Amino acid sequence: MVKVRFEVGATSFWDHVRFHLRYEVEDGRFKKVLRPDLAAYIVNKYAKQIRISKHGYGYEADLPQNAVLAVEYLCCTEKTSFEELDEIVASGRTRLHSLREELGFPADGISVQDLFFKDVGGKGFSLSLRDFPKLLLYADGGSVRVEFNAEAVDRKFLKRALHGELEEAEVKMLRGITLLGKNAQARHMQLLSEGKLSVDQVAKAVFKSAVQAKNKDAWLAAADWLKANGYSKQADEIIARKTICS
Amino acid sequence: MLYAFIMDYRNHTSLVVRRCIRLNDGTIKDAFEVEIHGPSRLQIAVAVLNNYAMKLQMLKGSPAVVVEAGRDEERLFKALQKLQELASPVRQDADFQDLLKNPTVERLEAFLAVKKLLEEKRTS
Repeated sequence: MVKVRFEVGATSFWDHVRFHLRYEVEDGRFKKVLRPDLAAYIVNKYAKQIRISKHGYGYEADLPQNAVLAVEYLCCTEKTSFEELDEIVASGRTRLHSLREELGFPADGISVQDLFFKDVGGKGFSLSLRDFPKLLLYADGGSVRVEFNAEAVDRKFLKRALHGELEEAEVKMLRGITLLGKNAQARHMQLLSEGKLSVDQVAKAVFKSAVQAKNKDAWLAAADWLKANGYSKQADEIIARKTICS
Repeated sequence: MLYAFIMDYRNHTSLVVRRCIRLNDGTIKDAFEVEIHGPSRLQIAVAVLNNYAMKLQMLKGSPAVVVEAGRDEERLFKALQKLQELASPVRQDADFQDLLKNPTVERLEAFLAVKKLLEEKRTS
């Protein structure tokens, strides 16, 4: 059993005060619990004893180690459920632990906070897990970035991307996908990871996206990508259309 | 039902104990509330409340605990009200230390009775 301390914090704006629950990560350092209702569920279900802290600044509970992990998980994400938390308490592992291991990175002995906020990869592409289950694959210091759902993309493909083992055509397509809108990005990432995408299809999507784009930087980047990958005709058409229309 | 929650606002922290009553139609009504502040009173109230089983709960967005006091609920709430109503400050004397060693409602009531008598004697 581990003694866990919660503190009640307050934020105020004019005459409106909002109270929130904070969890003591280290001695004297507290972190806001993003889903206090779920934290209450975990504490009430697994705590041996709940008390008001001695000087009345918060609450204390004796929790098993795995339940503490679930509370720490709640400090980093609000996209979770009762079932997932029960699984964490039963197994002592979060979905992030298994994701990291599937991607070929060690997960044992890493704190939940580091699991969320320390990016993985580095050889070419890196992966940010801070909005898990939404993932962000990025390269070149963030200038190239693709957002997608963790469940939608094949893990083996991600593993290859993070270890710099992608083929040249795949890197080309990935860079093309970054020029698309959010929904199109997610759709094309899924197809790419399953090996069902060709450069021609990406070029079509990039062309379509560029035609609809209002931002000059966006359509210029799309034209550059098209030109660099042998689609000069489409690139010229975009530049002509956009120059005449604007 | 007895709820206890901490109000923390800038430099002011107090423990609020709220007694809610369940109406016949099943709805819960906030009936009475006592705000306990001052370090000694807070220490006594926390010690007495910690004798009972508790459940963490969000009460209209604020983190609170439900104190499962059962039959003692009314008696406990009244004792806490009396504790806050004491006019003179609660000194951390031998009686206070004794109460903290075994903080039951009965002992709190006895403690309050003595303090009240002393207060009346002083004013008369």
